[in-house]
Amino acid sequence: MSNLELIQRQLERERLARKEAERILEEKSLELFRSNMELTKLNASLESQIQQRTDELRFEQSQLNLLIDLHPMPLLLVKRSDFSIIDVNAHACFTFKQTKESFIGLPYLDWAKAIDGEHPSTNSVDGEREINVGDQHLFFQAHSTSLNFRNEDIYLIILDDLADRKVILNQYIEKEKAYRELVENVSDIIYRADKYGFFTYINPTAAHFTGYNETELLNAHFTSLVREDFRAKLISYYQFQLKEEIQTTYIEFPVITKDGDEKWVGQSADLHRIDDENMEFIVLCRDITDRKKVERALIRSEEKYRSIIENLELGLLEVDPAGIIVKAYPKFCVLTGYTPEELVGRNPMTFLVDEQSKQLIETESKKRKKGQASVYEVELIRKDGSKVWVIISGAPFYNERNEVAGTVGIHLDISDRKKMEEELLLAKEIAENSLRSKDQFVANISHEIRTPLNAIIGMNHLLNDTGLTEKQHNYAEAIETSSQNLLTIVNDLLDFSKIESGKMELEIISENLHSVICKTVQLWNLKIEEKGLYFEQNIHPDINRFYNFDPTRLSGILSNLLHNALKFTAHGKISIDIELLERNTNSDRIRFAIKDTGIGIPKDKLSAIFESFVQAENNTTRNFGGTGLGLSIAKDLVALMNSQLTVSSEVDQGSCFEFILELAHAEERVAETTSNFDLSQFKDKRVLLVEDNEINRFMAQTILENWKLEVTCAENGAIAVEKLTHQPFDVVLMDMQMPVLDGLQATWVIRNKLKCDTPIIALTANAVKGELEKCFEAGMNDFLSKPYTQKALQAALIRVLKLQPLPIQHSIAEQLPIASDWIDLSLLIQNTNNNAQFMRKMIHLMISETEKRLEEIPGLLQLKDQESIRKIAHAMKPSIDHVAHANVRDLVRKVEAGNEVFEVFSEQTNDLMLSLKKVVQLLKENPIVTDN
Amino acid sequence: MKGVIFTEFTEMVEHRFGLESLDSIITSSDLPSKGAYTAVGTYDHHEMVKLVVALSKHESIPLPQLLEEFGTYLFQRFTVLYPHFFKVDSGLLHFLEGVENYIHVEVFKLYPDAELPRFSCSRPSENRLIMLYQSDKSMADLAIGLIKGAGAFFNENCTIVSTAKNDSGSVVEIEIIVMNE
Repeated sequence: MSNLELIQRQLERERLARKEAERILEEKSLELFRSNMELTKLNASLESQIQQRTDELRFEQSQLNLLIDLHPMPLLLVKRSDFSIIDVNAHACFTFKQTKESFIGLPYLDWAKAIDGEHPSTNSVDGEREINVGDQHLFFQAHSTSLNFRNEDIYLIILDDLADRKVILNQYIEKEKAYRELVENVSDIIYRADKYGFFTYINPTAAHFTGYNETELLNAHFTSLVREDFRAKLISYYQFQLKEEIQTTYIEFPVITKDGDEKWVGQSADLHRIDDENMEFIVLCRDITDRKKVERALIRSEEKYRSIIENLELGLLEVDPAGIIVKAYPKFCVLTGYTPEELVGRNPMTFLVDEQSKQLIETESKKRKKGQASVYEVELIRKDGSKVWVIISGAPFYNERNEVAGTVGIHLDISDRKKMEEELLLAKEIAENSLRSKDQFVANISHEIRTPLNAIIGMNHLLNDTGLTEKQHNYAEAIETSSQNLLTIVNDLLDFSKIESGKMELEIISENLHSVICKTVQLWNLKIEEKGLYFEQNIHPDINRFYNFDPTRLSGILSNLLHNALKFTAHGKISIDIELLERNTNSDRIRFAIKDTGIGIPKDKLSAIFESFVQAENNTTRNFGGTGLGLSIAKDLVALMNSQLTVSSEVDQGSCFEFILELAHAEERVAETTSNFDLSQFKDKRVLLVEDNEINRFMAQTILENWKLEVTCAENGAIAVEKLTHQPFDVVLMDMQMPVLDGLQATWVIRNKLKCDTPIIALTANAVKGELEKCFEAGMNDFLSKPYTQKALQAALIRVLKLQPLPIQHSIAEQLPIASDWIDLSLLIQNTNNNAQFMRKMIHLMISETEKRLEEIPGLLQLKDQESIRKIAHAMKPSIDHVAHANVRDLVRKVEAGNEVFEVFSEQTNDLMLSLKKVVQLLKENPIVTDN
Repeated sequence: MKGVIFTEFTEMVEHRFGLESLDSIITSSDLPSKGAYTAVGTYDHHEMVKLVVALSKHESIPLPQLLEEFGTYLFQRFTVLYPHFFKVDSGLLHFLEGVENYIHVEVFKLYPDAELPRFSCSRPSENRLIMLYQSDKSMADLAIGLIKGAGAFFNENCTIVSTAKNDSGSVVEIEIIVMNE
């Protein structure tokens, strides 16, 4: 590297450096320029601000000057150093009638002379000052303030014109006068007392009231007027007020006037603090003597009522709305064994009643809150733990705002009554039990009676079939009638007790209503006629179809009603009307009515007759017979059929008993015809007869042996089991009630221990619902209801032995149309007991009789001998009843009654003759009849 | 770093070691400014570091020593360039105390972007001053050189003791003890 190169490089570097320096210089110059501009601007703005401030200051200054000038009181500016006046305001010029310039330099202290006041001080600028204006002496109050104003230390002095003050003072004086007059003339006592209680001021009313004058009162102690016994109390009362510095108090006390009269006052005392040490009372006092009198009277009255309530025999308890005891009267305490202190403040629910009663108390509480009063019974728990039943009459009472303020409860001890209630309840239970056992007893007795009774009837039948002489037959008939009657009575009794204990159930089967009614009616036909009464039947033909109903019971009802009608009707007619009221799709509404022209029932006895054991008259049984149960049972049975048995009646005119049934249509049921059964099917079948009653056993055995069955007897269930173990049988007839082992038990043993499935037929006296189920459950196959008819026994055996009833060998009766338009043999069949030979004989007899009579009639008609024709009709009636259709039977009755005028009567008679001829002809034509 | 430092440095190098040395260290260092410095300019202080390091290598003088000597030189130049800062009657320690609060303050007024070290002083006694040097440039040696220069200017003998307060050298405690004659 040569020197030259070095230097060249150096030069280059320096050149660059210089360029850089120049650039930087440029930059800096620009910056400087800019800064300059800024500063200039700032300067200008500052100057304008200064100007603004200066203007503002000047303005303020001028305002201030204005303020001073316009002040309504004279204002002076006085130099502090020499007390010379340097400036005044406009008002000062005006007031003192001088120019501003004349003031300047005036010596203030001389010009405004100080009046010798409380604080004389030569250099004082304040206080009352006298300033002379011409001749006038004006008085001012000077108020000064030290200031620095316009760079000088000055006093700013305001001169307050004292004349103004005088005006204000006068105003105050006026006001004071007005108030004083008020106080002096008011009708209440107003006074002031110092803190010791001495009067410092009294108004005229005070003097007037007490009778003392002002002199006497002022500086007397207020207690000197008070009745002696109140003095100490009042002193301590007001001492307390003073001590606690209570602003206002009120107290009432008696005062004795100068004349010795006692008056009462109500005193309001205000405590006023005068200064640090002193307080005084300002008191308003009012005469309350009258009010006190009223109060006393009120208290006396309240005392009186209170003592009445306190001494009532009833226990009184007062509770507040929350249920807490507020007051317990003496008798209540005695009742519950608590003292009042033990009761007040507590909630009765927590200790006076047990858990169960709490709910009741709650409910009652709620009622009270709603303003409801009520009476209820509850058991209270005494202090000693014993309980007492009370009846509580609770009612709310109200405060002056008409809100519920609590409840008063009057408690009366009803433990005696409760005891009696309990005893009654017990007695009722015993009675009911006794009734139940009585019912049971009646059922048992009935059963006990029926068993031998059925034996009598059964035996009698057997006897009858043994071919008796006519005399013997008559005796048998009599026995039959009597025992049937007795049976009816016993059955009634049993039915009654069943109904009473609610165990009666209808046995609904499908049956032809018409036949049932006819069968029933037939029973009474004869009897009614025998009594000489006319029996009318109006049975709607359309009821001749099958319905679902209980024929036995319906028949029973009708029988009972007919029986009664018969009993109580001496002459006239009895009618039975069966009317179809409504035919619906599935059922018919049918009216059943039985009317009579009997003695009737007095209106007041109408409901009584339905009662059990009651009859219309006390001598009815004697005169008419009967237990009096019948109607009651009939009524109950009708009720069971969802209907009502009603009666309308007039004394000596007659009665009408009726009821309406809704019967459901039913399918025709083929009647069991056991009347024709080939008895040879029974031959040699082995029967085990289990029956403890000797008679019943004998009867059953006889019947069975008559049918050629092989009978083995067992006296009780145990023997039956024994026998079954050793020999086989085809069927068992098992009585239910037996000693040692009864029917159910025996059956159980036979089925479960012997594993024997020989069919068992139950012979039950109580065919009630529960009973039958038990039988079937035990394993029995069928049942017979005691007393059972031969037919029923036969049918049961056939069923159980699965034998064939033969194709029906038509009886005579069935070969003849039983119910055609002319013929009706149902009564004949019944009365001949379906004895073919007997029937034939009867029919022959009837035919010849009827023919004979018919011959007589035409002649009598010509003679218009209505009476004789009637007699003939009457004579023919029995025959006609046995063979002819209802229509014909009606006809003969009409003729027999003979009520119509002859023209009508004649027509009836002719109709009858024609009908009878037809009947006879039909009968004759039938070969069965004419045969033999 | 202000250009005046660079110009004084290059002048010093030129006068003390010769133009060749100056040229050498300039060309051997990669300088963005290409070594053209003007006193009124401002340049990255790393260039100074490079130059000083190059010089130290070139002349085989230890770096601290070089910086110190430069510092002394620089002080003398300051008294010529800015005479109003240096009044003899103030005394060395008094002067040094005023570096931070008076001199540096004035510097900042003119050159707001100046990068100067910070000094905090404590004066345990009349003749002892402790200056705590703080700068991220870690050129305490330069500072010491300047202080020595100051001692010479104020004609006061002093002893300087320096203690590095951290590894980087950015905080150094410098104690100046003035000897009484």
